[in-house]
Amino acid sequence: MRGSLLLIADQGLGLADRILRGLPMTMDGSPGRSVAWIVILLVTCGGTYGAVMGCFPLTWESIRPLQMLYSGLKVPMLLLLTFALSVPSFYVANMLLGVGGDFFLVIRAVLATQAALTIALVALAPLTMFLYISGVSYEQALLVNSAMFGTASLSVQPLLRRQYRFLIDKNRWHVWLMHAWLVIYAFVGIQMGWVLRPFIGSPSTPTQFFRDEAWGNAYLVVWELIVGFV
Amino acid sequence: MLAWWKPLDKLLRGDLGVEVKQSSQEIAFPVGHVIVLTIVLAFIFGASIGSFTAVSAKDTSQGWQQLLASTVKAPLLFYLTLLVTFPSLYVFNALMGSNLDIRAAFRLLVAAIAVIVAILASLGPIIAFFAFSTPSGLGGYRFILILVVFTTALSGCLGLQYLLRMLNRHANAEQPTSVPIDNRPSQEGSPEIVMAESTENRTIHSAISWRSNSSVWSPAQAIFRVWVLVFAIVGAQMSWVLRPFIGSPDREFTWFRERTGNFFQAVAQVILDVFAGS
Repeated sequence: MRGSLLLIADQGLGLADRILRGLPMTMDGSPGRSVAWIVILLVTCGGTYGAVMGCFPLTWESIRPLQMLYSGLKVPMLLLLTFALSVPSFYVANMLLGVGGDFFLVIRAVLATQAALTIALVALAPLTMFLYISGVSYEQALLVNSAMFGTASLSVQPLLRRQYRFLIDKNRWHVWLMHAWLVIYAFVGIQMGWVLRPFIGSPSTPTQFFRDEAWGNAYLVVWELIVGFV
Repeated sequence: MLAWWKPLDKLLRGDLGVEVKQSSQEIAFPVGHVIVLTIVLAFIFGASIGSFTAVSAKDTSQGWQQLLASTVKAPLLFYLTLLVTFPSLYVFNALMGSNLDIRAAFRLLVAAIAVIVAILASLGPIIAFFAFSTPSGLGGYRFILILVVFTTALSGCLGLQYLLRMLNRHANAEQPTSVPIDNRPSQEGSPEIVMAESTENRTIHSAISWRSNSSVWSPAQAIFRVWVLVFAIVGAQMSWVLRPFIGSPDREFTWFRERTGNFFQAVAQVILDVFAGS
């Protein structure tokens, strides 16, 4: 039992290392398997960081297992649902530009980048917990997590480029498509993040999966803030 | 299992199924099949727009009526536009001495519409997601409206660019003086790919290219470009005539609205309203 767990942990760490370095994932040579592993890694690491997000304010009395579970579910949901909504239009764009044949590689590249994002988040998790322990307020905790997501997103950009280099060498349209992907993904992802609130959950309110007033449009809120400010 | 999708897949890749018949070339993809697929995809797009009203209307039955209306009207938008503009295209093309016969011209346009609708349907999940999560007030209505107009304009531009590209390819293929495809330097640059292609006797170009194949337009090609503009304007106005696609939250459901105004005026008004904050 203990041996097999160690084996899984070892394999997982090996895979994570290969993803971070942008190496080909030759677990057993099967490309389909490697995508499955990427998704498993994404769900595990995303879930881990989500649970860490949800453990605010990290004192013995205030631990909320339900909030940790919800947050742990929400981070992989955020990434995978955004991915699922963005894929159809990205597929058609790839087809139209004549690079539809590479689509499997493209999907693996963007999924691997998202998995790397979650690995980066897990690496930042101790820092988040440390800041929680230092006694940040709820608003500051929101800011801390935004910063962590921002840092992780920026840090995986070179990886996406590295993953795409081989594709770009084949066809220059991939440069354009890679940027198009980032635009679509960010556009949908921002709204998805808004809809899936709360990720941390204010300790003063009861724990719930969705807030009653949660839905709404992130861009409209920002627009109204700007209009109100002007 | 995915065989039903195959013809559209080929069209998106820019393969019109050109067949050589007695020194002339014919575009020979299964038109009926593609039209049916296009209608289904247009339904998906229409439903994703109409879903905003379905979830936000105060009166639920009216919301569902709007959803149904948007779904049914979406394919009409594209094929009515084709009906209005196709005769003039054909006549002017023939007058200008184009080598496109009426069947080829029709098939080319069906292909372009299929591409436009495929792009729109692929954006359907994103539009539906925003429709479900956006609040039903006037601000939300305007957001969805601008999102839909933007995505439709984008798809229209891509689809019409596809049309011109296919037209060029077709025209060049019929000119015996044009450079044989296999001798051209490959843009992909990989020797393996070039060899694989030359054995198949065709290159895999993207459906939309960096640059146009021909630098000089024949009169027929020039007319075609003018016509593309006409198609775009008629299409935009057709969406106005067939409105509402997205039911305004403060209005009763109707299948059609009164016949006043035009598309461009209305879009300009919405954008002005957004900036005025009214």
